[in-house]
Amino acid sequence: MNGKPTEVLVGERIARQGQLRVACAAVLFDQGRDNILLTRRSDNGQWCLPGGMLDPGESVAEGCEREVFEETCLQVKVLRLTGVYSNPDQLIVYPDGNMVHVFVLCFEVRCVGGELGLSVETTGAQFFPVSEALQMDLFHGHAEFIRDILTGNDRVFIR
Amino acid sequence: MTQIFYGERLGRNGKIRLGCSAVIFSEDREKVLLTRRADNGQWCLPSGGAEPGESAAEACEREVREETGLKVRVERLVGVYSDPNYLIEYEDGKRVQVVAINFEASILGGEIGLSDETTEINYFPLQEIRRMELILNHKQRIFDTLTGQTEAFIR
Repeated sequence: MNGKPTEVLVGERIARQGQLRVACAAVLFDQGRDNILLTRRSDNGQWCLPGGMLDPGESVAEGCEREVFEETCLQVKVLRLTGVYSNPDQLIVYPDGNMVHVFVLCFEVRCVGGELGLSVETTGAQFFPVSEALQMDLFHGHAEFIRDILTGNDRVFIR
Repeated sequence: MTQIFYGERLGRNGKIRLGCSAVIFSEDREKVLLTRRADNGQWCLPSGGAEPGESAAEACEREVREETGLKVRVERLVGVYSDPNYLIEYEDGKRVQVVAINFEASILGGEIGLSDETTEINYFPLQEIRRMELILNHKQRIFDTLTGQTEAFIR
């Protein structure tokens, strides 16, 4: 980790101070749905779901699939949207000082190819038992993304 | 005037903007509420950009209120629309690729009235909407809503 870590500040409507950005997060279970893929961020050492900011010129599904490939070397396809997470009481502050209100679109994805590996953005990428993942100190809000999926509810969560 | 350009991956030349739209049915569910935009005269769903510090549902409910005078509540998320093959250029020169979240919303109160952003507001029967030219993919958003599909459309 170089310099200051990425921080998440919490407070009523604190996201007002940031710029709005759209991000994607991916939930990839193994075949038995017992284990879930997590990556370890190089900017603050926390484990999280693979994902990242959407780039102009790509659709949300393409953005999600690209981010997973960049971070884990796995080729995935989006299966379904599981939720939109837009908590206005959280502000992400990046090491360069950028402040962001992030709208995360969370997708369940399936693996179609590739072998699990690392990238410059990740210092770890591995499957964890779902119950263990939920006990970890995951990056802001990601435990909620996983818990919502585990409800088995097929509606899209609006948060 | 707001302009829309179409072309392969044109969205690359803009910034991503998060928008919300609302499909609001009449009580008999035979009609949908549309507004006419002041900036280019086209009919569309009540919609607009989200602001930092508000949730997606709040952004949708605020935009409907501002454009129509109606107080609504978001009922469900119908789909996400992020076609990268068009670019919107606003009067001030800003260029954006829109990622839009389309919701079905229900009316809680308020009365229909015009705003600076809208020159007309009306309920239109679905068969008439089929023949109308709505802005961008708003017609698709309406017919996606009508399917009643629980799983979100990812477009």
